[in-house]
Amino acid sequence: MNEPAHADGAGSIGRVLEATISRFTCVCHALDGAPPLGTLVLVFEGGPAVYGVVADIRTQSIDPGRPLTPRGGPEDDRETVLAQNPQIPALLQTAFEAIVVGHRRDGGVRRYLPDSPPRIYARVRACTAAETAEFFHGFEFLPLLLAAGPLADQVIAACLRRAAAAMPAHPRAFLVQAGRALAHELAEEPERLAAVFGQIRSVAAG
Amino acid sequence: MTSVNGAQAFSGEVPLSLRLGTVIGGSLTRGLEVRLAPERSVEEMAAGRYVTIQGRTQKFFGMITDVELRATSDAVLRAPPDPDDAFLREVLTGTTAYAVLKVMPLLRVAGTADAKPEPVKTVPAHFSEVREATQQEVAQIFGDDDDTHFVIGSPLDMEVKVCLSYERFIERSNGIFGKSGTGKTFLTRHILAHLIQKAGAQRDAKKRAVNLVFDMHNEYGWEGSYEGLGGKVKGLKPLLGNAVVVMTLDEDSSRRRGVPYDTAVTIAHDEIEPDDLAVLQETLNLTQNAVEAAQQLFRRYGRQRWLRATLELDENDEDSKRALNEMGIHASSILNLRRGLLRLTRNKDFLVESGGGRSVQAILKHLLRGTSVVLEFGRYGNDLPAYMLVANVLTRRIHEEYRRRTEAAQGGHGDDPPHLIITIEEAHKFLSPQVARQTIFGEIAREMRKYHVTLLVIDQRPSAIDEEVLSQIATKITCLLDNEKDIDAVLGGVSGSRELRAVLAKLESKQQALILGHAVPMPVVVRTEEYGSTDSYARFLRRLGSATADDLYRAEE
Repeated sequence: MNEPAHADGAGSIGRVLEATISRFTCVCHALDGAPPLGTLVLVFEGGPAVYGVVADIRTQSIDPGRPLTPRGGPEDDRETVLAQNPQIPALLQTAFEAIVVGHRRDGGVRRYLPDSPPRIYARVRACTAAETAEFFHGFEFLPLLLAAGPLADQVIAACLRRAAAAMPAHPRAFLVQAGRALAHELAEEPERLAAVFGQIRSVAAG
Repeated sequence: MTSVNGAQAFSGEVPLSLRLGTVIGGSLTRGLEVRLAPERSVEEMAAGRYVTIQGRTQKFFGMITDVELRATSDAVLRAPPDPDDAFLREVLTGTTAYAVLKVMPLLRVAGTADAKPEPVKTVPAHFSEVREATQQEVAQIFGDDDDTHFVIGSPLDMEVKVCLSYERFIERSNGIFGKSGTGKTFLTRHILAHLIQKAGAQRDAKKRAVNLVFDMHNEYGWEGSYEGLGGKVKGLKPLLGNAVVVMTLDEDSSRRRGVPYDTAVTIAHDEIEPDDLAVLQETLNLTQNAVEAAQQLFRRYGRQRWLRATLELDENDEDSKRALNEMGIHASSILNLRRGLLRLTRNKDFLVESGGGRSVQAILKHLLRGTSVVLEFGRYGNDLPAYMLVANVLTRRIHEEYRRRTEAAQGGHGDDPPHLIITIEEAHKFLSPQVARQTIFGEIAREMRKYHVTLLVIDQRPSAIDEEVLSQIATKITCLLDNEKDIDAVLGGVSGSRELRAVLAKLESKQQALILGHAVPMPVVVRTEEYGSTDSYARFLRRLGSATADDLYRAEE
């Protein structure tokens, strides 16, 4: 049922610190340790494995009550500022937000919402190429991403680009299939469709 | 990738390559609408092709009659993808922009293994899967080439053979239509050859049909012409030997062409009746009064003399004037009639003063023995009035004899005569609305097979044939027609005719025909069997399946 692979923690990039049924926030173990936008990630412990797509990434102060203040003069570059304030990285954390796009049940991929949100402190990792290819066999999850807010189209485009890269044998065929599924969802919004396609066309052409 | 989206997933049983799409709407009368699967190109589709629709409990067969482009939303049509954007085009094709096939349901087969195809009475449910019909399915519907079926051709893009039912074909009158140069003659020769061959294969004598062919352009007897290479193909006689006799109306022509003939046919003056002129009224430009005058003259001078007497009447001669006055015939009518008769009889070596009936008897003798007769017209083939006169006179007499024998047989005296199929060309001249009620051909077409005589009409202007007669044509084999009226005429009274129109108008100009009616279980577009090559003869003779046929073939080579 649960994802046994990587149970020893190898590949873990962070832990779920906030979760709703449709999205979760994962705080990374390392500063700037978030996977790129659109990456398929997996909450692999604490119940059924849950798939998410990275939809937002932010790095900010650990203590919301003490926001960072500007440091260094105009002539100091970033390296210099960090060297003069070695404590800074310790005050910061990187977190990413993921849209829930599916889960695993009975050994198979389900491209719809799980029964319950991922558990707090469950570890999260990026999916392997094989897992990504497996997940993108179907596109029933597209409505979940499309409803993800103002950046949804950017996220979808990023997600499809990354998924295509996981299928080196036939990225174009994959994008055509994905594009058709998307066209089906966005039949009444061709402008939106065109905007998404504008962002994946270069991959498709390659 | 096995599925794109839930709605487009396919069942694992059908190979993806055959899947065409999904039923999305339609009706029994207007035909079904099938959304083309995104992986299929609309450009591969062809009107006239067969499809199989897997309903929940039964299988349906249909024919693609139209192909239409549609879009799920107008928005994409307002902002179509750039022609250079192959990716976007590929994505949108089959999804937002898609093709719809119009499919006319024709037959259904119940789920059981031994179920026979039946006419459709309902349509398959929404979202039934549609795929190309397989060769086996089509073969199953059209039957095998056996004693009661003969091959006419293959459906478009298929190797299987479409067979006509011999029994159903001889049961009623049939027609072969198409504008000139579309291969009507080839098709007719092919059909006649098979009719004669299958007749020979019937155990039951009642099912052995004989043919009488009024061969206008000498195409069916010994050899036919062929537009293009070579120029000559075998006629029926070389292929079928003793089952056929060739008679001629023009001995000179036969001698010139070096073809043997059994009998030289003559028509005696006393065999021509005023009714024969009625048929020729339009062709000879006769007035109604002239035709009526002929009837008066026939009554006055009698069968033997009326024609000669009419030709000899001189309106300036006092005796003639008196005679005409007594009959109440106006001078202009007699002028008109005489002009027509002169045109009809001038330079006709086959017209003789006396000895009527000999030719009819000779033809009947062969027909009653089960031998088909091809009557070559020689040079008279280009003389339409002559063709019509001879066909009309002979057919009238033969029909009389058939009627007599049939009635006698019904009364318990003697046997029924063998079923006779009379082939006429330029049929609309015999069967136009003006004359169909008067000619023997109209009568034969209307009375169906009451007296064991039916017609095989060959024509390029079906719209000029009387509607009632046309409605009695049971099997219509139609090559390309492009005149709207002709298409209407052929499809009149056929269910789904609107859909078939599109198919008919899109036939290729050669070797393709739409067949519909009694002798086929469903309308079918065929590439007709090739005829004229050594292979085609060999194939035909193999079907004959007799050693004599092989010998015959070798002898001909």
